[in-house]
Amino acid sequence: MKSTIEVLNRLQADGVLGLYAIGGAMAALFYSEPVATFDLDIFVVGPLYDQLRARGYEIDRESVLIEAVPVQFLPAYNALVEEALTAARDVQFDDVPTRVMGVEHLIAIAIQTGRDKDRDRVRHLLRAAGLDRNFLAQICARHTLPLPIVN
Amino acid sequence: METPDQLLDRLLAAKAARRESLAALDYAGKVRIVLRLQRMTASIYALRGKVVRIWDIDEQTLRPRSDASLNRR
Repeated sequence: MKSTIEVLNRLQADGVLGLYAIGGAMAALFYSEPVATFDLDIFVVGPLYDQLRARGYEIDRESVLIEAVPVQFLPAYNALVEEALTAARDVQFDDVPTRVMGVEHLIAIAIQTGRDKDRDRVRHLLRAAGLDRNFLAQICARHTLPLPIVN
Repeated sequence: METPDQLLDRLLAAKAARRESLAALDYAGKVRIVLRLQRMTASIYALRGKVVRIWDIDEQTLRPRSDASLNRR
């Protein structure tokens, strides 16, 4: 996975990939306990599958295999996701720099998406250390989302 | 003697503590657990007819296990 992020950073340096951020379960992993997941969700601005195909990457069911990790590139599909992408945090994965969506935005996206697994994610992330509940409330208000109830 | 409710409270507290300690691991440690979870759950998904791809990366280095041709055709 470190190699995968290095490739993403190289694609960004080459101008193939613009601003990106890790989202989904692998982003939630930064803030909560591990859960089984099989994809690395990368949120991006604009389409890039054609450019990746041109560079020889194997595309299988909308995932691109990069350094043995299936990466799903997802466009910033609405205002909330765009905001999450822009506000993502710079982090280090060991010595490799990358960007990950903030926990408050991950919760808001999970509320908006609303599948069973998203509701589970909300429950897990609400217990995350460092969660800024005021910031979460602001995001939810801005995007007309219900504020999750904390048990 | 511990009542059933006390026993349940104790078990739930232990479970919560376990989750907290897992959440406090560093990211690389959590990725290693994800790799193990992938191996553990892949066969269950297969029984349900869902095909999943286990990441072929080394658990220690977190880099591809075999040759780099995995990346490209």
